[in-house]
Amino acid sequence: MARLSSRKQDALDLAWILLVLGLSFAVMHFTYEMREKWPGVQPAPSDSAALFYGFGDRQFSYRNVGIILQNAGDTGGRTTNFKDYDYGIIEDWLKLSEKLDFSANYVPSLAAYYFGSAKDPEQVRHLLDYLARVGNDSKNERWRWLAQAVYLARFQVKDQQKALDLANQLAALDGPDMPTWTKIMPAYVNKAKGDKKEARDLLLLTIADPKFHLEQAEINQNCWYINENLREEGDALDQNEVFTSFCADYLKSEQQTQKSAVMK
Amino acid sequence: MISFPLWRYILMAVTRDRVIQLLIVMMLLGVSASIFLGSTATIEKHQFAVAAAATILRILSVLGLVTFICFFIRRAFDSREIDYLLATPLTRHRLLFSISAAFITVALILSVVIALVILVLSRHLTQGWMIWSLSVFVELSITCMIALFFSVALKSATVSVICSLGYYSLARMMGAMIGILSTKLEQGKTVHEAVSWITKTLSLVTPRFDLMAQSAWLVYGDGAGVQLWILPAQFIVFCALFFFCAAFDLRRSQF
Repeated sequence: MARLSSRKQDALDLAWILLVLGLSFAVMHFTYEMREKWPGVQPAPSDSAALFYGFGDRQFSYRNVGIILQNAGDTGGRTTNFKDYDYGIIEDWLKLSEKLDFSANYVPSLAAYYFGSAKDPEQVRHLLDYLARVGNDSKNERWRWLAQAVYLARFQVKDQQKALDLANQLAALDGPDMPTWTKIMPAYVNKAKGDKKEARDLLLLTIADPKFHLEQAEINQNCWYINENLREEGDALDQNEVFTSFCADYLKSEQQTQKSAVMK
Repeated sequence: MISFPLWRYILMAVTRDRVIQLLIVMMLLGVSASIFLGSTATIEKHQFAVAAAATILRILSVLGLVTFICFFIRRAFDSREIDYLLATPLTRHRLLFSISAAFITVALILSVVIALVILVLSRHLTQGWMIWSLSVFVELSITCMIALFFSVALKSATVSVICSLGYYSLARMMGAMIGILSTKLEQGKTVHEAVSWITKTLSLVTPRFDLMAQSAWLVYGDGAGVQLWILPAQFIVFCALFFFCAAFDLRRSQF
């Protein structure tokens, strides 16, 4: 093969570079819109295999499982509707995270506020038992996850019996920082179920029980709730000793309000 | 038993190769990456950053130490430094012991740097932090001895680095592998039985790094589930094991 002059060789090299650059642009042009298809939430690994996510470190594995759940289906400019998630598999991932770290709030918050915002009640149902388990703990305000489970069961899933079971679990928890509303949560759910007597009885018991140390404003609020929402024919509340004595203030102010309304 | 001039010479080599300085820069980048990763979490961003930094800093240190040790030892063999040192009254055991002591000193310096960086990041001086820092030192020391053994036994620095890192990964994952074996999902199959036997045999000579340096101790500050006797026990057993293996190999080498 004849040897080319230096200038011709440079020109030939440049031509090759331009040709390959052109090919590179062509490949980019055809692949630009191509995206990897999201295969859906992948099955959760066993808890032993999950340690690979954190290179043997359980806590880092937990954080990585959390970030996998948080970003599932929403990476690379892609967004995925909740209806396209398999919540059965999400539940498996949630159970896995429980085994890696039971005390953290990262994954419970994703379950309660992120995955819990799905519109399909059957999907949300998958989250209830997980939230109930992690929330069955009076330490570090973790009972809030159980309260969130009650909310989801009551308003999203609309399974009042499930909501009542969870509310009873919440009320049975004994923590120093648990507010009174956690103790009377079953009353609200019972009202939604249509069981007004149960709701009334629980609220009156709570008002009368000195261990709750209710302030007058809280007693008045409960009296108002009973009076406005839980009255029914033959309830005999006017003869009820707890109602008449503890709600005397509220009833008096209510009578005055009615009187002034009539005067006007 | 330690030859202090040799110990000081190796520490000078560490300074000359700017190992510590480079690792400190890498650690700063690692911490930045951890803070960024933590910021992507919806809540508990700080805990995420601490867990990520703990893992990233440890891995960076292992990469730095293993690379330095393997290339340093091979270079010492190739440039006849080892021959020269053995021509002095130093015995082979004393030579190796001094080199080991120097590498463990480097591991100690790196552990202190990592512990301080994590302390600044986590902002809590807890019992968990102290146990974690101690276990990082033990892990880095054993890793130094693994790298020393492979670099003495193998002729290529690159192969030594790959083998050391492979063995380190195996040590970190050994707990997970034993866990998978104990689930017995595939029990009865010949392949499973063979793999199970190989893994169990390997676990006899593999340190359990998964029991050490758990970032949960940093996040919760209490060192829950740790059995402190494991740290000195693993340090003594595995440092000695790899030291004697390296010594056995060095003694058989012809110069």
